[in-house]
Amino acid sequence: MTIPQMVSAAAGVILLGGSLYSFFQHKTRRFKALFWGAIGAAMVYAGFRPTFIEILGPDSTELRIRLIVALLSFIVLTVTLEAIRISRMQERYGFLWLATGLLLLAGVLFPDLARGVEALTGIGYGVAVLMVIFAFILLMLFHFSVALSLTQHKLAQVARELALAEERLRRVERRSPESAER
Amino acid sequence: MGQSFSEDLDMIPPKNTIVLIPVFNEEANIAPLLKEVGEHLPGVPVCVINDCSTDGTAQKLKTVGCAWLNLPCNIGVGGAMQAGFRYALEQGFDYAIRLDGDGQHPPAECSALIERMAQGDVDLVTGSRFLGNGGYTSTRVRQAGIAGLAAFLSWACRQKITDPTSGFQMVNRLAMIYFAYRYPSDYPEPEALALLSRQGYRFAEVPAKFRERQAGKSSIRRWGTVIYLFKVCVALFVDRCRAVDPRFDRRHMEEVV
Repeated sequence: MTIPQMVSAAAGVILLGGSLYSFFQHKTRRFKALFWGAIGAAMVYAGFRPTFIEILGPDSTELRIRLIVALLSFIVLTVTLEAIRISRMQERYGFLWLATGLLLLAGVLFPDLARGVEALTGIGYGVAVLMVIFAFILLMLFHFSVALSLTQHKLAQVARELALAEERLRRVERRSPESAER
Repeated sequence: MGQSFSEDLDMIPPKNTIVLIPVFNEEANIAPLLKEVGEHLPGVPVCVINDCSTDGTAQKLKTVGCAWLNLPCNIGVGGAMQAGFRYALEQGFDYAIRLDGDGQHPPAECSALIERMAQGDVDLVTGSRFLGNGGYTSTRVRQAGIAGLAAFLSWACRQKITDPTSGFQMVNRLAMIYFAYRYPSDYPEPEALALLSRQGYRFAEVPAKFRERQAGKSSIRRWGTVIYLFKVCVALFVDRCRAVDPRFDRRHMEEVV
């Protein structure tokens, strides 16, 4: 057994155990637990039988890259949707992330799309994917800088208003002491 | 607006002047500074803007008996000054003098600013360390930086500026209105001058003696000088590229106010 196989098997065992535990513990999220359990089982199986990958097609670098990118896009999409769902992220900030995830997914599902890009630019498939990811990450970072600056500006404005209002309140309270006592 | 003070009163600030003091962690300096202001500028109201100090400054302010603004989070000296300008405008003041909370700007030197402002032809007066014999010394790196910045800013404003980083300033109501709307944030002085010049305001420098800070630590570290220069140069350049804001163009403002 090679090291990658062992890693895959070990991670699969942990995933499988965790999801089985949560399947029986929290009765509400069973579908999610089953899903992750299946992935865990697949990982364990792939650890012992590396040829397992061939059920998706002939083993090749391209297939492996597609698998990894599929996983990546899946993670991006679920994490973004989850973040929006529990309203930790506003929709408009999630938009670029969702677009990235969907674009990656499109690249996985339709390799011809990527081949078209390859034919157009002369950049090999794997590198092309990296370039797409890189460009999008740059875009998102820029987006965040803008959002951050705006937020900073608004924060300063709010802070000023608050300080002024507080000062005014102090003056009013000084004028009528009984209201300050309350 | 546009009033001038009579000759014999030139040491006494006009009635409608306020002193704005932005402070950040100046627990030890604030009380002596306020006392000094009271001696040299008797009867002039003071507003201290506490930029969310982490020491006992806020507690101290409750005991000193002047107006103060407590910012709920640290927004930098520029943001703090903007709050001060807003306050001064709301209270109907026509002139504001800015003193730094570290005691670098001696209140005794304010008369020079007031005199210059009384001539009525400028909207902002800066106290310059390098005009006359200010006797100010600093690290070599910082001095070289200031000299370079002064040259650049003088070119950008088409006017000789010897001390671009001086925060020892007096502004009139027109400049205050503009600053209340727009004032650069981190190290605002050079950029503020550039903005003023771009909007058609006029300003002048008078010689002023600065002191060493009285107690505590400066908030600019050694590497800060280099980063500061870089940031300011970028800001100056970008401001040059921006269009003049017609709402706050000086000629327009004069008609409105």
